[in-house]
Amino acid sequence: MNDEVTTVSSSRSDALQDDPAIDVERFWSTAQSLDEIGLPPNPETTPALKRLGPPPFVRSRFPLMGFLATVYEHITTHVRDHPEEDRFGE
Amino acid sequence: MIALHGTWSAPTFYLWGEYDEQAARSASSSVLTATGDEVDDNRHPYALSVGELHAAAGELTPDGLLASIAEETNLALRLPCADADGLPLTSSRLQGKPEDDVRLKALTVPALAFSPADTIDFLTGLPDGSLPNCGDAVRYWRVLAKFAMSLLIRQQFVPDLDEIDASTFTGRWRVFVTDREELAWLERLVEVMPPVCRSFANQDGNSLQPARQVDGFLATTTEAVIRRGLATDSFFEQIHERADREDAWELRWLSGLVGDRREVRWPDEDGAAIAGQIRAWIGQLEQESVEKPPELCFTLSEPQELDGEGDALNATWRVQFGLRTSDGGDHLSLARVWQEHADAPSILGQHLVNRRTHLQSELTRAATVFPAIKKVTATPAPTGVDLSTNEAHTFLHEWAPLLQAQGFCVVLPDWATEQHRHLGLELFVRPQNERLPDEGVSLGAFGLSSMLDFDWRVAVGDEQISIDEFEALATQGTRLVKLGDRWVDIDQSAAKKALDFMRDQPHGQLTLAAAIRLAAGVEEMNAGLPIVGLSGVSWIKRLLETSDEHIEHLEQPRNFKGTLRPYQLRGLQWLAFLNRLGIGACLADDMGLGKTIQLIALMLLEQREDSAEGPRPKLGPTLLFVPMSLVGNWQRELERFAPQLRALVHHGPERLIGDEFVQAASQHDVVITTYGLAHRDLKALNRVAWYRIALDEAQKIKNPSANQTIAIRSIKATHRIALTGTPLENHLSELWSIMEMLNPGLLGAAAVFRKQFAVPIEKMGDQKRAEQLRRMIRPFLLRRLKTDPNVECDLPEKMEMSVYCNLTPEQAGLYKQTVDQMLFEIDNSTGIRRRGLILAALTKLKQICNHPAHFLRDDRPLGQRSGKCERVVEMLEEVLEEGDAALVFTQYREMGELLLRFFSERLGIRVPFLHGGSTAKQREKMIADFQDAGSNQPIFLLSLKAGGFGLNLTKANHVFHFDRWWNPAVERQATDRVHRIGQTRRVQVHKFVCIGTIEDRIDKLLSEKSALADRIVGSGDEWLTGLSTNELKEYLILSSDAVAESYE
Repeated sequence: MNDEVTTVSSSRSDALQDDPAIDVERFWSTAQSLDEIGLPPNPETTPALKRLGPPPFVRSRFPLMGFLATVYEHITTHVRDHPEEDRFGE
Repeated sequence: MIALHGTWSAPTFYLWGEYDEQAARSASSSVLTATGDEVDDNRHPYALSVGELHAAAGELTPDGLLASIAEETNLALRLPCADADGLPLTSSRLQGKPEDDVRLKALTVPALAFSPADTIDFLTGLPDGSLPNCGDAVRYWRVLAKFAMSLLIRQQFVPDLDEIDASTFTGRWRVFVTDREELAWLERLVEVMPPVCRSFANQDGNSLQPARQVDGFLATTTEAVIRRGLATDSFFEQIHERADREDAWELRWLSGLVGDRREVRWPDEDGAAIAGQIRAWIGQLEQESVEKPPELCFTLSEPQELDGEGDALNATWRVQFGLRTSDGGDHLSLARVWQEHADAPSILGQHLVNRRTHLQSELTRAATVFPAIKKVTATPAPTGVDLSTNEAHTFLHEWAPLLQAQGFCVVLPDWATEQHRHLGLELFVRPQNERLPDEGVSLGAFGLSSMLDFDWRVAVGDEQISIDEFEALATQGTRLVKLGDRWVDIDQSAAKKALDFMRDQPHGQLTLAAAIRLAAGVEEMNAGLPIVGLSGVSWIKRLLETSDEHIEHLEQPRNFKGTLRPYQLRGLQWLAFLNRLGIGACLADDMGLGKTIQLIALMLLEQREDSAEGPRPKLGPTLLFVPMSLVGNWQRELERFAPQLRALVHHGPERLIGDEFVQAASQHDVVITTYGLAHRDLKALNRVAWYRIALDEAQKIKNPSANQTIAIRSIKATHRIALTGTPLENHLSELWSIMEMLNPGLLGAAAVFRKQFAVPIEKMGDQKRAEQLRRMIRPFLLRRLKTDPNVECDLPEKMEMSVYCNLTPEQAGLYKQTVDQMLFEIDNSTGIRRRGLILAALTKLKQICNHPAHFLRDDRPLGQRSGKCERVVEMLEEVLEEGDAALVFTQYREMGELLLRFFSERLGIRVPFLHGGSTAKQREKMIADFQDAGSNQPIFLLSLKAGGFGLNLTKANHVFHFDRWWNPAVERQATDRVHRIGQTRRVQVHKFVCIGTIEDRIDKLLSEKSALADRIVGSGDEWLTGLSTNELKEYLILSSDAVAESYE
């Protein structure tokens, strides 16, 4: 166990106290129900790499975009399909 | 009962928990230091131990191991505690507690600490729905964790670079949110963050800001997940070896993006340049979504209640500040905006507009043109400013327009439109004789010189108030006064002047012409208030009304040979009404709406039978001036619609003169003459007691100084009417000349009119003068357009009409000669030769009817040698004036070439000509250019055969058949190039016919739809070859009404 106590400097101890945006009565709650906020819109977006278009680099000897495309595919698959296995597999 | 909470402090997520108070009494919790001693009093007395945390977290997730990956630690937080006893207030205890009894206090709690990637695994591993034993904070972080994953799945991340020094950088994966809706959702999430989520503070208090917490959470966790993902595949790990081995800047950069290695070194001087290129490349995404700042709005509200006089002086108005989104949609709560943090937050690289700072700076900017708000802008969180009544007046007149000019939104009460806010004087008139005369009765008490009784009223908008009410308003001492449910402007000194004016001249008498000029604001009265209108009773009211509802309804004349369309009947009623008042009328309907038959119907209306009430009053004839090209047309129209009207045509070298003419004129109902004869035959014309003078194509007198214009104005008549298709408001000198003929003196002397109206309107675009002029002439001018809703519905989609033209003397001579020769030759021939002679002669006659040059093939100038050409040019001038487009068809290519020259000389425009010799490419280009709405080609000339099929020419709404094929199917096919699907306007088809010629006879035949006509269909000219010589003669001989005098 980490024996250190993660603490706050006393000189800033009143920062929270003085923050006018802190509503003490609602300290533990969201200001509006998360159900009302709803799910994120999840729009159909073009992958960021495609939106960037070809890189403007001169003297590029390495197939940078090809490599990055592979990275993207791998990450998408990794996140969507096998998060737990990757985490616990050695 | 326990509650688990989550707190983020980059790069760690902390899970901790507490018992509620009751449960805490029996719980044993301890916080141990490394030495095993208990810590001081800063420990949270109800906190869950790490063991209890593991147990609780494990119950939450299907995979109990998730919690086991976290490290165990102690955490110091600022948590709400009761002021009285210093004990922490859990969520159940906190509700309803007065704020003054609560303060935040540093407390230590045991916690489970998750690395960034493990944070995502834990939070996304939590089940959906409400989480038992979890506070809102855990649910909050779960939402964000899932959002982070969706960004990665949708590949909304890019490789980036952070600079340490000139040659050392660190690689970084960066997520982007650029979709506006998504960003808005994220903003809302930031706003609702529970304070417990940021109850942990670092050295600088800035990290407490919700936007930074969210930004840090998303940025840190997503990068950790990406790096972990890449580390699972040895393919990516090879990047490090290659980067160490090869001198490629891309490899070094990529090496800083994979696994735990972050450092990127570029020792050569290109490092900064490469970094700059990378930053510029990535920076494109930062530009994709630029949030527009909200708009500052100022809304003026009037005082709620005024109890009595003098309260306007003490009343309080309010200008409320507001913010609305830049698309003019949602309004933002000003109170909440004032609570936002001062410095600009950003989320994932998108700098959000700091609305509070923006509001402050906008108010400062607004204060430069709206100085009254300076009294509140120094106060914290201003939401509006109070104004006195006089300040509200200044707001309406000065500050609001300036604010709007500066781009601010200003919302005013409904009554605050310009028109309804100003007081003015209205002249109210009453005729001395309210009963309209019958036709023929002396008009001494009517017309523009009729005397009216008048008095003054005070008007605001459409309402009138009495002088006493006005006086009460004028003494309130403010520049805005309440009148009913609105406020009106009042200038105290002007109001006093107006009161004095009205008391000095409360009533009197003046002529109708003077009243109209006065009410139009043309005369300077020094009345204090502007004179805004004229109102009256009886026939005055009907004259001044803009709609025709109040004009007496009339049926069309019983002996009118045709049916007037509803709008034409309304036109007839209007003409009859003005006629009875002895006021000159100008009928200015669009071309093709039937001005001619409305005048014919009026003349017929006056010819009613003797009745039981007594004999019909004897009216004098109407003297009708027309262009030479329309003499024949008028004859035909009169014959067709009103055969019982006795018409005399006064033109040509054989016209009647002297006593003979005077006597003949008096025995006819209408005398048709030409403009050119107005001056030449003035003496004789003035000897007739005319009932009416009428002008067709009245723009012919546009030159007020021309001899013919002066002559026409000098001819005496009881009534006057002008017909013109020209939009007179675009031609003010024309307007003056016509109005001077119709109602002398109404528009003042020519020089004065020019100075008061023509120059200000035409040269300087003076809208006020234009409106004054419109008010003055409105009672005397009726203009309907084809597109007016209450006209359009009466019109068929396709209107076909014959245009009757006369021959010139040259044409008549050639025609007679050709007919005589032909009749002689065919009398002496038979069979094929006879047939050939007839067909050849028919062609020659058609050519002569078109233009002598078409027949003679001579090189003499074209001008004024053909009645048809003169008329077609006059009509095309009107087409151009109205902004319409026209097709002109001819069956002869040679005639087409002549028309091209004619149009070029007379209209000054180049016209494309499509004929059988045009190539396919030329044809396509001509059609495309014509149909192009942006092209300046309003006229298209086509040969009947080339233009007869396969074309879509819907830009045109006029079709001119210059000469006839005499095959209705062929003509219809040509017409249908315009009248087809895709045409959105009414189409007018004009078929030119020379009076008294073979064209005229064939036209009659076709219109009669007789059995003979049926034989003609499809056979062209052939059927004529089967006629005997005598029968042919009937068709060919030129009748006496065919010829016109020479054209002016």
